Amino acid sequence: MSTPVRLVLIAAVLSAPWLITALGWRPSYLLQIATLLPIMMIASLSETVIAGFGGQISVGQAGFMAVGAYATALLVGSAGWPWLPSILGGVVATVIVAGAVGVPALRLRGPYFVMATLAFGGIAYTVATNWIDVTGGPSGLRNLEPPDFESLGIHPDHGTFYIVWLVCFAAIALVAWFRETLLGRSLLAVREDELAAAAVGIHVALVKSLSFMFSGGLAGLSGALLPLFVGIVTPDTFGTNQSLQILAQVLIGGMELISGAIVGTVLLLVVNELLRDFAEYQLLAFGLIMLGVILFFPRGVVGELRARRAASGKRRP
Amino acid sequence: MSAVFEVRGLVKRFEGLRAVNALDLDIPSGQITSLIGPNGAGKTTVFNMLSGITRPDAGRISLAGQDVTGLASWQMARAGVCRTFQNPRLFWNLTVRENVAIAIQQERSLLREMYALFFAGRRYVEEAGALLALVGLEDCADWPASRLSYGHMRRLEIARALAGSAKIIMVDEPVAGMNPSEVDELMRLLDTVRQRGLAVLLIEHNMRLVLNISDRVIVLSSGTKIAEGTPAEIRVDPLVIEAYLAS
Repeated sequence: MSTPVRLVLIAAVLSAPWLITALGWRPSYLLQIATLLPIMMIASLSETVIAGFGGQISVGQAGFMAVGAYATALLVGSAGWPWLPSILGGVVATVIVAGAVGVPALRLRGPYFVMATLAFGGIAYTVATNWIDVTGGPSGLRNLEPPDFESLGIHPDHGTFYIVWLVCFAAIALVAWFRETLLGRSLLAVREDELAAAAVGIHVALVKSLSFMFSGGLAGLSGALLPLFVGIVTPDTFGTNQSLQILAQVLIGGMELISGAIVGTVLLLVVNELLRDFAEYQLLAFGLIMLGVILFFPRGVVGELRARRAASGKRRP
Repeated sequence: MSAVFEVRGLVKRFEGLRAVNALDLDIPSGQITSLIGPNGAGKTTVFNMLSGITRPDAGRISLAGQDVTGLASWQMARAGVCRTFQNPRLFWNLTVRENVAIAIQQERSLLREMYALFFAGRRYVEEAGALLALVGLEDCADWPASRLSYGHMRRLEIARALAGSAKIIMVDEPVAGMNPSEVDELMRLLDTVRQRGLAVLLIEHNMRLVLNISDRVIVLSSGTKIAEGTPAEIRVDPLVIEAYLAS
C-alpha cells in the first residue's frame, strides 16, 4: 500500500465519527459498524497468519476469540482490573491456550488439521455455554463497566471507536513485521516445502507452534476488544459460523496478503449489513459470493488484482 | 587423513528388500568423495538416511566423533550434515537471500532460538550476503528464487546447504540437465567448497565430472559397496566395469 493511500485511510478513520454525525443517517448504527470493522479485521489477520502464511487453514479462530473475550470480561468484571491490562491478560490467556491446542494439532496436516481446529472451536463454544459458574452460560457476562471516557471529555462511543482502530493499526503493523521476521520467512518456507525446510535446519515444529500462538493471540486480541465495544460477552458470538465468516473474509480478499484480509473484511461486513433485512436469503447470497470468488478470483480480490497488474506491467515495461 | 563422517553397518530394508546392506563409509574433510553405482543401487536411500529423512534400520552414523544416528532431519542439518536434492527444492516465493538466511538458524537453546526467530532476522540476512558472494549469486540476491536459471538454482541450493555450520555437504546429482559450461562452473564451485575444508559427498552419473573432480570414489551396487579407491583405480576395477555393463 502506498503512503498516500495509507494517509487517506488514516484521515478517513480519524474523521469518521464526525462524518457519520454530519451525514445524519442512522449515526449510532453506522458508528457501530465502523467500530466492529477493525475488530473483525484483527480476526481476519489471525487467519492470514496461519492459513495465508502458514498454509494451515483454521476454522476455529472464533474459539480463540472466545478465550480472549471471556478472559478479558472476567478480569474486568470479577477481578475488577482496568481495561488495558485486562485486554493484555486476555491476549496472554489466548496465546497459552493456542500453545496447548497447537502443539498436538500441528502434527496433523491438511484436512486433519482443519478438523482439529473445528473441534477446538466447538469445544470452546460448548464450554462457554455450559460452564455457567464462570462464563454465565447462554446469557453470558454482562454489565461490564466501560472505561471512563467522559471524564476525558470524549463521547464513550467515539472513545471506543478510536481505541479499537488504534489497536487494529497496531495489529496490521505487527503482522507486517511478523512476515519479515525470521519466523515469518521460515513459516513461508515450511508452507512451500516442509521436507526441504527441515533439511536446511529449520525447526519445523517450533516454527509452526510459535506461528499458531501468534495467530491465536491475534484472534484473542480481536475477542478481547468485543466486551469493550458491546459491554457483554455471550457464547453465540463465537459459534462455528463466526470462524467460517473469518475464513471467508480472508478467502475473499486474498489469503496471503495483509491487504487481502482488510479488503475482504470490509466487503463481507458490507454485504452482511446490506442483507440484514433479508435474513433468509443471507446464506444464499453468501454462498453465491463465495462461488463467484472461487471461480473468478481464486487468489482473492486483492490477490487477483495484484497478479493482473503485475502481468500487465510485464507486458508494458 | 581423518574421516569427519563415519558410517558403520548402515542397513535399510524396504519390504524385505535390502536397499542398503551393511554399508561402511569414511568421508574425510577437504575432499570430494563420490558415490556412484547403477540405478537402484541405493545411493539416494543412503543420502536420505545420512540426512535424517529416513531412519536406518541398523548401523551407526557419527560426525566428528559424535553419534548422530537417528537424529531428525533438522537436527542433522544443524549438526553439520547438509544436502541438496536431485531436483532443486528451493523456497520459490522467497528471495534468493531469504532462502539462505532462513537456513542459517543454529541456536542451541530454545529461548535463544525463539529470540532469534523474532528479532535476529537482520543479522542472518547480512550473513546470507557472504554466502551468496561465495557462490556468485550476489547480483540476484533480491530476486524471487523462481526467477533463477537452472544452473543458478543449483548454486543457490549449495549456498543454502553451506549456511550455518556445515561440516559435510551431500550433493545429489547436481549437474543433471546442465549444459557443459554450467557443469564447469559447478565443478569450480565444488572445488571451492572442498578448499574451504568441508567434506563433500557427491552422487553423480556424469562420469566425466566424477573422475575429474573426486578424490575418492565409492561404488555401490544393489546396496552393497563393491569398490572404493581413487578415480584411476575405479576406472580399471573389473567389478565396477561388470556392474555397469550388467545394468
